[in-house]
Amino acid sequence: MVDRIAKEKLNIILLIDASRSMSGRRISQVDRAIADIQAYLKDFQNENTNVDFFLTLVPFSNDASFYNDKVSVPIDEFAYKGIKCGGYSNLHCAYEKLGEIMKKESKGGIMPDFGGPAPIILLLTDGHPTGQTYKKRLEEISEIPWFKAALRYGIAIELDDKRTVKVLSDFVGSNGDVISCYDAGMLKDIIKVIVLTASKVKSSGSNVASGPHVSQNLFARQMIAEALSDVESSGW
Amino acid sequence: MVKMYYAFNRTKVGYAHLREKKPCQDFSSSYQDPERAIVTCCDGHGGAKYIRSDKGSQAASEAVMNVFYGLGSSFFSGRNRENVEEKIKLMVLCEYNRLVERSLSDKPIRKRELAGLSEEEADSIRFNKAKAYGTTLTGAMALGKWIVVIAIGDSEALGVKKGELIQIFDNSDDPAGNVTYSMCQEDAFYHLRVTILPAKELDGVLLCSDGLSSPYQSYDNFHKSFIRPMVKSVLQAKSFSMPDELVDRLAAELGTGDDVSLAFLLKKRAKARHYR
Repeated sequence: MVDRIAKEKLNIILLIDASRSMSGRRISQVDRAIADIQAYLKDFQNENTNVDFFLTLVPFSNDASFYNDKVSVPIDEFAYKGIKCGGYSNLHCAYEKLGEIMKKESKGGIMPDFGGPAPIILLLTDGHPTGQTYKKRLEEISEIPWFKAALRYGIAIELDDKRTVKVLSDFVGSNGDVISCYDAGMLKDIIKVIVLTASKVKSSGSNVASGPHVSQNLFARQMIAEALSDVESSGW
Repeated sequence: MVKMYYAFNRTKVGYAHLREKKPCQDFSSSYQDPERAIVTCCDGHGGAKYIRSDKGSQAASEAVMNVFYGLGSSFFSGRNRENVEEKIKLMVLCEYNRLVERSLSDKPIRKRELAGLSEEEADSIRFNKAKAYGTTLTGAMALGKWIVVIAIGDSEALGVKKGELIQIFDNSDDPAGNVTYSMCQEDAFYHLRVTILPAKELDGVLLCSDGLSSPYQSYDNFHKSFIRPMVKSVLQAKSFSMPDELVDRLAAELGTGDDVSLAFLLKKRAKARHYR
């Protein structure tokens, strides 16, 4: 009866723009960040008694798919071999995929039926999404309780385009921040800082903080802001 | 008249609360007489500003007990079911508010209780003192040919029948990620759920705080790994030693560190073989 008790489940979801403009240095930085995150979280999970980490990647270009057709993969079982880039940036497809999984397991999603910390979701893009459908899809997923509760970050990669930053701001809402990455060479560090800092905060005693407030997300944002300022001062 | 149900409850403080010297914020209770069986299970919020959530969970439990105890079987007959459910919600909410107000009147919130809070948190309690009592609530009563279940928040109310698990309320649109509906919300009435079910449709009703369910993560796992063996054990052994032991172990070492509560009504004549 007690052998199937598990640690709490923390889902980390990355929506990765895999359009043609992301190829080269940008996607190779993403590749390196994912490899580092996996290595670090594997070790951290072994030392941490509260939480197990699960990773879902959603690369999107003309279409969106779950990486390796798998969702919520235990961090120590995740097999990453890079992402191929090409095509347009159909963000609405990524939002559709996100909507499919932001439900409880008993309803076909990846979120635990009981409790659990809110997931961490990152959206990485280097350009404006194709078409306008993404607005409607975002409105739809914004109604989902797990999306509302999620800590959300948008990373604007080497772009100085207010329209696209607005797309990311709409995505994160009041539950996260948009980070501008002016040099793709820093992308790996930015992704790592966000994911690892948020993971640390969310794995520390989340279970006894239940109540109608989301202070854990606010705390994570403060910690991430501090950690990012260190990245910035070290050569951003 | 022979009692037809087992009525069980147990609450234990979680190891993280013990370590942090927090009071047990869960409260559960059970009552039985030849006519009715009642169980409750309430989980006071763990956030810092809910400085009296241990009292809140007790008030919620007492409110359910007081209201359910006062209902006769005639309350359910010949009335529109929706009206009855709405009336029960209102009665429980009013009773809860009365108990909270009485607690505040007997023992007003003192400065030192607010000492550990941020200015914003302290202001929110000064502005609405009932917020200090934030809690979830679940309760169930078997009376005659009916079972009444009430719930608000992320504590679970689940039914069992012939080995199957029945989710009594659909909570898929409830807040997620350590955020829950609460009796301390001003619009609590709209989030309280009440249902009245024919007793013949269920072998029993199980209530638990998230300290018990969270470690099992999914309904499927909870059903197979906890509910079925536990129900089978109670029916076969006619004792509560297994649920007693499991609640204690989850609270002391195996769970998430949160307080652990379990309460259930179970028909004595339910068949253990269905829960293999």
